[in-house]
Amino acid sequence: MNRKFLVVGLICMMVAFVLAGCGGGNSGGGNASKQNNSNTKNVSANPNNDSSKQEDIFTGKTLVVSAQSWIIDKWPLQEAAEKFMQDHPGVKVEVKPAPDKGEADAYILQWSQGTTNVDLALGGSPADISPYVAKDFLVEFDDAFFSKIGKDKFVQPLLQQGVFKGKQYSVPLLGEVISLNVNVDHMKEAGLVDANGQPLAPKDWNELYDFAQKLTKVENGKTVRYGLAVDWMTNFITLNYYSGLVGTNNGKFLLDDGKTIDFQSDKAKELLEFWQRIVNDGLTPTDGVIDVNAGRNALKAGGVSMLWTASSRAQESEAVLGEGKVVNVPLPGTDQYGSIVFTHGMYIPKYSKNVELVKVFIQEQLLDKYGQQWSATKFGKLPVITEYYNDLSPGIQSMLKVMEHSHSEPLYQEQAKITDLMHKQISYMLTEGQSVEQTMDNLSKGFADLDVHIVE
Amino acid sequence: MSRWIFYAIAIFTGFLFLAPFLWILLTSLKTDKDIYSLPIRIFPREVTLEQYIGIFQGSAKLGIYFTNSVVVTIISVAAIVLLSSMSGYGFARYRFFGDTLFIGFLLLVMAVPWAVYLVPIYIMEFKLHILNSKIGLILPYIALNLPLAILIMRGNFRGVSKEIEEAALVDGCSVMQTWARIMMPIVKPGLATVFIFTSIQVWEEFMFARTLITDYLNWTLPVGITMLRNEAQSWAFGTLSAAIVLCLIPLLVVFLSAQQYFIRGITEGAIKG
Amino acid sequence: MRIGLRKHFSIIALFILPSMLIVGLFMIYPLFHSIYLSLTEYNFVYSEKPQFVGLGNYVDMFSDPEFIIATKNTLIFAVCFFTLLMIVSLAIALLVTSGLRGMKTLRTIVFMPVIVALSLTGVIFQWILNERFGVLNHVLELLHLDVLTRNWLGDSDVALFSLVLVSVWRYTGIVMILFVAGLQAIPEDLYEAAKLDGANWWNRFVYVTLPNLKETFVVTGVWGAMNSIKVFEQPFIMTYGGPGSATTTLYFYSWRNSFEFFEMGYGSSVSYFVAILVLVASAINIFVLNRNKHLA
Repeated sequence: MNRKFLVVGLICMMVAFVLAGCGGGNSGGGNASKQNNSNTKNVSANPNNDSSKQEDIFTGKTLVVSAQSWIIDKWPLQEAAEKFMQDHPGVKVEVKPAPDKGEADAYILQWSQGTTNVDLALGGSPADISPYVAKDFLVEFDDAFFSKIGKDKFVQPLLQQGVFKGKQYSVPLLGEVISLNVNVDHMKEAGLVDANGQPLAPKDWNELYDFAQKLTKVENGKTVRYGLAVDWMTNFITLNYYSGLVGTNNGKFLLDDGKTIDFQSDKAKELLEFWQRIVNDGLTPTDGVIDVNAGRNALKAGGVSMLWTASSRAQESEAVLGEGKVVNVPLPGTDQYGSIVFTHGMYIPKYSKNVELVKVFIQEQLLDKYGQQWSATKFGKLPVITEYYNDLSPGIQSMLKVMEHSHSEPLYQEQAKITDLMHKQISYMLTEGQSVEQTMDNLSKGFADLDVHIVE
Repeated sequence: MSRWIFYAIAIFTGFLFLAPFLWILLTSLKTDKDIYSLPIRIFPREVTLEQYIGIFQGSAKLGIYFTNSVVVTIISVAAIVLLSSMSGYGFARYRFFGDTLFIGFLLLVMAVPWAVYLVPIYIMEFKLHILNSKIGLILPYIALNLPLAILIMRGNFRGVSKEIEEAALVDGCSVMQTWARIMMPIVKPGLATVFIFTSIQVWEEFMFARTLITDYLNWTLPVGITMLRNEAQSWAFGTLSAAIVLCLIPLLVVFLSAQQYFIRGITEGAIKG
Repeated sequence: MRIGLRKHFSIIALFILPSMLIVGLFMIYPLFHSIYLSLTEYNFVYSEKPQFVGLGNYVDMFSDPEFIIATKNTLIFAVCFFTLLMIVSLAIALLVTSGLRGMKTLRTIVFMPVIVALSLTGVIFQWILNERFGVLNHVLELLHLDVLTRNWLGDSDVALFSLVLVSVWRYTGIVMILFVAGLQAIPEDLYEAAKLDGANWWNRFVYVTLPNLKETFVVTGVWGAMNSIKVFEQPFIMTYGGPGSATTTLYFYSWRNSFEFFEMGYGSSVSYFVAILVLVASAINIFVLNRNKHLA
């Protein structure tokens, strides 16, 4: 009788296995076998938006758009999908969330097997995208693509971020620039505004230090408000470092060989010393070193007056503190020499079977005024097309000016290790008392040891 | 007198273990502003359900993730308990060619950080077309958790004196019957131990789940919830707390009602003599 | 062995084969593939193919400062966590079996953290231990224990121990239950006899309780060794190995090498080093416990 039990048990298990295997969600084998409607003619992007014609070509296809979750929230993707489906009856657009880069790569394993279950990927800096280019996974955006919206219509530094090895492998969805995000009321209270009530821009580190000092509030021996916070975590450490040099070092943060980061010049020293001072003197909290959200949380809660990071934090905080209560102010020198920009790109895996459809979607929806402006107004994500700035607030328009002669971070093969090196050494400098000189030396040596290669 | 000290310690300990749960519960009932206000407020200014509502309206599909997790866990754990009790017995009682080698193999699988298996298993599953499916998670989970389970059960079986089995066999029971009717009840503590260890391990596993599941609808709970705590998003903690509470409630219900049987299972049969 | 082998061959096969098949077939390729990788230099993105370097990676490991720090962190974590876990769990188990009122409730409460996934636990505590927004510091201040407030996750002196405490909170429940089972299995008469012999409570504990818990120590020892050395989620979720490298454990370091830097070869070799540590720890555990058997 017990043998029967056992056999029954084993059978049940096997049945359960089989059922579980069947119930494996839409993409049963993890392949892009959905998109198999094989009558794709190679359509070069048709400039005149003739919907009836496109309906014929794309009907029955499903477009899978994979986006990092925050993009789904801060960019009207679902709306764009719906509008596209309305314009192209018979086409289905699915928007799916993907893990952030910080939690390990979403696509590389899949694409390395020669298959994809997404047609369009959204989100990722050039450094994030370059591995895909290196392994030749991406579709190039050729001139045909730009016949609809000309290349010259784009904000050039942003568009440039999608160029690898001389070809356009990604098109930016949105841009960001590094600046100071300041709380207007705090600045007013400390008397740091001009005649029009606009916050002043610090001209150099000493002035910034001075501002931070005036803005810091201590009660009963406890700091209740820090004057300045800096995002020192891995997602911003390199960008913020470059931005500190670019403004004060005549627009340069690399050595003349064009690939070595400047860790030794006087200006580099000044920057690092400034960072160390503001922490040692209690003007800046150190939680930004380990917590990616420390800065913006504090800004929104009124616990910090100035935040050195991407400019979009200002608009993000306005949602909480009120319109016009948080504005962008340029870092020392960046109004003249430009700052550092970064983008999140859109890229197409070459294994996708819907490449043309994706390109149309991008042109019609993702580069459309509505989405670009929506994201800018609500979340400060800057548009990639110049003329879209015309209707936006003066604060955002001023960002355009800064961006136009801004710089991008160089693309290194060893980016992850470089980021790690800088993050660690600067951590030691800020939280463990490592001297600035030692930090500079460790950075230079560590960088040299990496023997970096620039991704062309 | 010393009793009061013990009671005090008990209460203090209980509070320490319970406090984080209470905090999450409180956080889930606050507005975002309350959660992030400085100075910190322990109790909400006004109790609100907006965090919970936000979950149902948002893109997180907690219910689906929960179900996926439940299915994967139940099947994996059932398989592991069954297979480990069978092979544990086999290894405990019988010598055969290669058994020590196999035990060594099990130890190695157990000791290695499982991340090294991610890429090869991904490739294997891709070729077998079982990626992004529940079976694609269940098989690795079984393969990874069986070693420890087998070792535990083997230990348990070895601890039972052979007279009982021999008596049964002499009485005419088959090995199968001996195993099922006589040995299994004796090793209930081992089964319960395997059950707990495996359930927890499988339920909370997220590295393999994240890599081997490529479509968000097939995500298990740990992956799904981690998506809520997003790198570039702040002020998500309210949503996160609500999600955690929602996930804990069914688990708590199951746990509280089952713990009687379950703890008895571990302790029963352990009372010798 | 006593029971005839040949006679029951088919049964044995039935019992053992499924497990061997699943583990063997599934894990053979991954195991060999990863061992092979550990003997190569291979960047998943930028290398054409793996380049065999023999034990080169293993040698490089020992001149890699990050590796040394990670090893140190792992060992410190393992020792602190394991010891604390055993002591706390045993203490609570003793309390719970002492017959005071309300112990069943305590037992349930202590076990509850076990049902929260480890990664979720990390998220929760990241919030609680936050220096500015975290409730722990706030409560300490309310109790006028300001001197105890810390930057729990951001201060490199404290961060690793914060992870230890969080892990203890999470895992105590399971180990406690196992000890409870073990304790309840000890016959009362042994204690009676000891009392008659004039043993005080400490002696009774050392000479009656502990030896009889040996079985439990073996299981919890091996399981504990695994979970003390193979530590990934806590540093990954709570501190990302920081501040600096203060909470970088070997497993975490290996993961970063494989999946963030794409250095699969080096990552694999670090992983195998971890495996060796786990095996050694388990061996020591079993050896120590079995030795005492002969003394008893």
